[in-house]
Amino acid sequence: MTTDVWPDRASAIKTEARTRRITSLLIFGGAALLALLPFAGIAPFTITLLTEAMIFAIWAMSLDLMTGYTGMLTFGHAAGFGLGAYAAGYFAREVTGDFFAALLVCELVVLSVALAIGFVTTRLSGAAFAIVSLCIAQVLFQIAVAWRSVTEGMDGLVGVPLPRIFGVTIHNGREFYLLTLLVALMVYLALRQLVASPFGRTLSAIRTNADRAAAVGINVALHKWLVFVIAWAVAGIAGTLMVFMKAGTTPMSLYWVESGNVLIMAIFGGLGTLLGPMIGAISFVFLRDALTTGFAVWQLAFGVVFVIVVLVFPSGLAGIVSLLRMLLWRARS
Amino acid sequence: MDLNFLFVNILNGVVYGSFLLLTSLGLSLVFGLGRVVNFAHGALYAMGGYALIAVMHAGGAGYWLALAVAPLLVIPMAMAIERATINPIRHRPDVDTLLVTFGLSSMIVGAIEYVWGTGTTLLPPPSPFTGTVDVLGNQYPLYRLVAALVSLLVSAGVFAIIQFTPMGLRIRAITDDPGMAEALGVNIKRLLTLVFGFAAGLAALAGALGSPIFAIHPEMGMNILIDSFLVVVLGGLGSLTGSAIGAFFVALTKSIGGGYFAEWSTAFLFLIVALALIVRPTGVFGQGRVA
Amino acid sequence: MASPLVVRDLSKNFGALLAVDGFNLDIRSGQVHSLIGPNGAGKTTVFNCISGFLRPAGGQVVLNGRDVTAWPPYRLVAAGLARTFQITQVFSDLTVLENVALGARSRLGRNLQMWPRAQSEAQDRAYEVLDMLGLARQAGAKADHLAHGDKRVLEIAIALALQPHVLLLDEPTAGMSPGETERMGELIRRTTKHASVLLVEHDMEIVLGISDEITVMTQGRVIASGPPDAVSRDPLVRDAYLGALDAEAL
Repeated sequence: MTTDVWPDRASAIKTEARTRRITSLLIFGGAALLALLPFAGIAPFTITLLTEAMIFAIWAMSLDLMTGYTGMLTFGHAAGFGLGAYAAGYFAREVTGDFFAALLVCELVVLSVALAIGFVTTRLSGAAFAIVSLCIAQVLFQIAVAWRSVTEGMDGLVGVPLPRIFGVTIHNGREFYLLTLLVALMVYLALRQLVASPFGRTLSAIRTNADRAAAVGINVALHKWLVFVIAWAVAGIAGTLMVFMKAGTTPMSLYWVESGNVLIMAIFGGLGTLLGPMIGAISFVFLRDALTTGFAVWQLAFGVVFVIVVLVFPSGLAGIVSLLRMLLWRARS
Repeated sequence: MDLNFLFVNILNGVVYGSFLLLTSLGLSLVFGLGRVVNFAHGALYAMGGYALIAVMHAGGAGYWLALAVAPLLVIPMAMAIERATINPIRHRPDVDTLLVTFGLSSMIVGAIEYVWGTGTTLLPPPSPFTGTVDVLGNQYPLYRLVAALVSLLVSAGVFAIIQFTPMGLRIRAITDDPGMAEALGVNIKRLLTLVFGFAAGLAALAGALGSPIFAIHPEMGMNILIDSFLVVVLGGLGSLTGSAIGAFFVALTKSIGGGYFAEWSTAFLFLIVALALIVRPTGVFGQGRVA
Repeated sequence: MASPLVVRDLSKNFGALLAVDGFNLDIRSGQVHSLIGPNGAGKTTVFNCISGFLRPAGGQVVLNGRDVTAWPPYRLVAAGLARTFQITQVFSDLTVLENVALGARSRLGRNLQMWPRAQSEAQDRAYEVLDMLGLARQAGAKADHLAHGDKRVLEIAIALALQPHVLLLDEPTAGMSPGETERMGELIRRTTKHASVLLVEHDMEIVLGISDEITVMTQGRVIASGPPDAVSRDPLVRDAYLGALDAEAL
């Protein structure tokens, strides 16, 4: 019955499936390309930058889930990242450098904190939520500085060993890069799936009009809480990778400047697209490297770019998302 | 229980509280009037400190002269920034001005680092207040008390302006009901810029005034910004009395708590804020506004 | 058989202002019950109290025999209550189909499902609703691009996708042309096959034309309630409306 009243439906489904196949092809193709880079004579330093870029990509995608898809702007996304880094790093140093074990411990810590804090803070929205998120991150920053017995204060946690997977040590450089790339790919696929699921659709509804979403039977508070926790958990993954890559971490991984960085990566790359923030992260890392070697004005430049990006997009945050949607939609039809 | 230790901490809390009050008032005014959450407020505070030493070094001026001049340098800068970046987007959702001011904060701090470097500058207390004074058996730096007094006087002045002048009345009316602006025939654009500049002046004054106490470095405004946000959460944005109470509550908690529990007291403070939010789920910024 | 919706002694104040005082309502199954009154009478407040957007100061809301007073909106939806809004609030970013699919998905209890994209069932149902309301052709269009009248219909489509027992319509014909209004009236009567309708309206023609019962409010209180002809003859009602119900409508 539905096919004869909805003649375009069959073709609509086909087009959607084809678009998905093409994007998947591009993703896997791109990933394969990236994986081959270290074997193609690319400078080791570039590989290091790419590794960092991939870690930030994971982090930025988690932000996109919360901000781009659900509309929850946060100035404190360094929280999950830095917390994950400390938890994984401390465990790796004190107990074992087994990657999965460290990741597990990281997630246990990050999830408990996110569940508790998220329960309270997701009741807020808009500017209020953004600022309180910042406060949370700053509190964690203060704790990292103060709790010298565990975190070694401003000196930072050092001596984190090389990660091991099933007993095999993953060395810096090429090996770690491939690990990070793999994790980034998996995170991307998982988030893409999440965003296309019914749960993901309700997130878009919440972003567009939270009250209306409630009137459609969506338990907004619960959804926001879940997104918050998931975003922190994924940020924690990025943090774990970072702490292994740098063999340690400092309280600066929880600082508001970091939260600002990941925000601009996501905004710049394109909120609400998952891939956008990934591209934003890569651009950010390479741009920062280029600029800091050239001028000592990184933070100033960052600020200027940030302001310009926000001013130029007429409908602001929401506009960026719907603008991109519209462009993608037009491209598709 | 070392009463002297406690007493000194209380004094420190009162001193910090008076600075916090100055900055919170500014934040509260700008939000109440224009619904703008000014993230760059901390950077403006820092600007005050740097303007101070710039005037002192470049102009060879004494502290007190520089103190008077510093805010006067920051105010027009702030007004220009407001006109260029905040005013154009004031009809957009609140989060946009928040983002812009966040970017501005980075910009200003970055500019400071570029010009003055990232190091910390210590400033000795200005004469004739260089020494300590005996307060109930404790030697307490005299300048701190003087600076606190100045802050309190200025804050009182702000209160007076808001409560007793026609301009203040207009500001209060518009804060209560933004639609009032048109009814009163007020040029809201100009008023917003003026108030923004005024608030920046307060922040810059606080920064300059506090420099001999709290040291000067590019990130000096960050902590007081966070604390100011906490103050307005508790006191209610747009409420000046709330800011007054909140400022001293936050300052004393940090100071006394900090004396006994180090930085854990900040975590405790956040817990209180969280609880306040649970009790008043209509959100941070009082008056029933959620976003 | 419990009444679909019973409201007992509902009251709501905003500070010193008593917006609703002792409001009573009893909708019978499959009926269109209209709530009318001058501006500021408290109709929207009643709506908001019933649909969980405001917490009543006093009184009870009973849905299919269950006390649902002060339940949050999402729970009320699950219990069989759906509403539309006075100011059109469709999800402008999303397509028409997706708008209604949200409702369908909610009905299917799939909101928290994080796996498979298999959403054809929700979309099928959404399409059926759109078809029933004549919006099927525009399924792929962005909700924002619809004409005003169509947006109001979309609002109802979303509500219908929730398969409610009780449908609350807040000024559905607001801003519509006479032709659109007529069609809306027909639509509303058709929905009574599946649900009971509580309608807030200003358009007297529609109200008198499609209602089985009318409740008249003014200044927060009910001044009359009954079938259309009885209400339109009531002198109190005429007073309140100062001629809004003229001889023509009778």
